[in-house]
Amino acid sequence: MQLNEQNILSALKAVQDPDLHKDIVELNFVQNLKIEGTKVTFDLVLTTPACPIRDRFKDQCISIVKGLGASEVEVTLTSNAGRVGDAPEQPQVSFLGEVSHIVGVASGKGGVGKSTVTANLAMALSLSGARVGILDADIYGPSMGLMFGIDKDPQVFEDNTIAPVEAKGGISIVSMCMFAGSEKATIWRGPMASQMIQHFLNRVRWGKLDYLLVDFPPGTGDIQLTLTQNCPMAGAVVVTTPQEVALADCRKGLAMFDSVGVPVVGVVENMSYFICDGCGKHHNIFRQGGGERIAKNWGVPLIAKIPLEPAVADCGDEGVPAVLRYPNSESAKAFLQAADAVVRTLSVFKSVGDGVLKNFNYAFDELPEEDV
Amino acid sequence: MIQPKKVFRTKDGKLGFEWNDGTRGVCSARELRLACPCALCVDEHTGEKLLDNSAVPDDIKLERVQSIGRYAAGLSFSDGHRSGIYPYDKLKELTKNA
Repeated sequence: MQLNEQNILSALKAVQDPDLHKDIVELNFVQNLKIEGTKVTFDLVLTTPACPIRDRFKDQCISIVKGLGASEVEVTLTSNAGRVGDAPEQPQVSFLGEVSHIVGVASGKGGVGKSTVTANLAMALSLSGARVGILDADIYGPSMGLMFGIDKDPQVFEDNTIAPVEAKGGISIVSMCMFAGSEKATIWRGPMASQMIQHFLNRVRWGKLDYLLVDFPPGTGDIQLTLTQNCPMAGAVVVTTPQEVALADCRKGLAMFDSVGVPVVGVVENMSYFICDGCGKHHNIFRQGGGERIAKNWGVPLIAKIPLEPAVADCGDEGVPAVLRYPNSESAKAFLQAADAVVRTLSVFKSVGDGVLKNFNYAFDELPEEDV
Repeated sequence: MIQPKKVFRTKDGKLGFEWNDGTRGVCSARELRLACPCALCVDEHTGEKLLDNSAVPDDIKLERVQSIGRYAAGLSFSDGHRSGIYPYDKLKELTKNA
């Protein structure tokens, strides 16, 4: 085949960017294409110098162009952010950089409906037009698969990075349940669990997200610490139920975020009251006013009181979050209200905390030199 | 909560912070290394210091400064030690003394 620009470009269309789902020619990655006899040189302009698959791109390009009859192919990797070396070793890169706000959803104890709150908050944020992801970090009892009715496995790439599964409402989800069968128990000791969480945090290709909700495992332990240490959280939501025993643990959850410098957006009181499906009357099954007391004593706002509604409660089991299935229910309205509070509070945190370094990694020698 | 607004170094190789309360402070790499709170340097249960000060070179340097979550910085030293997580309130104390 004759070596000309058109032939080469059309052959290079075979190289796909797995993130962007487009080929490298369409993406305008191929530039400065020069043909001298049977020698071909061109640049691959990547979107980021840290592109984890840049070497694969390069190898693919070279073998394709050689297949067209070129004797020598030279590919220079560059990026919009400047020229990059052909470093064979990839630094540990995290895809969290493309996420604007990471929000932890936690509870002091299990069984308060934390995952239900996470799923519905995510859906409410997504309905408002935001790009939303969920990291189900409850590795011992992952439930996001069930909540969204996901039966797909996430795509795992050669470089061990993971593409999240796109669920209802365009929400990107990665959950432990996608890796271990739902019937199997995750029996791991702390270090193993922490390692898995770190892998989830750094190796998932979230793409650009406005909000990434991290569904914490219940309690205040090893994994919770790993999470708060490894990702720069913009804020946290703590879920509780009205009983005194849940509130006691809720305080522990608040204290945990406090000690690691993550500001708490607010408390969501789940199962606040029961709405009878026969007569519509509100029944306070548990004690009233628990969430308010927490809010008052700890200075964190109560951002929503979610009722118990039988029809809505079934949504979780049916794989459709209540906000999507019954948008006019009181529960859905409460979730939308909570999502609204999250959005507004985070933007307040952002402006109040202005000037504070959140996420940095400096080489000492590159720090600016100053006097005290 | 105390958090850094700026990280810098001084001419003589000290690490400096500008904090969100408006104060600034510096601390030498050796002092920071000697104050490492990690489990290799301090006994986790008794709090007893395990690190032998004389084993730390006088000319030890800092290599990297990295945020850990929202509450601490991880420091990497030229002796290869990098397991210390220094909460900002501790760093604030250390840089005050210097």
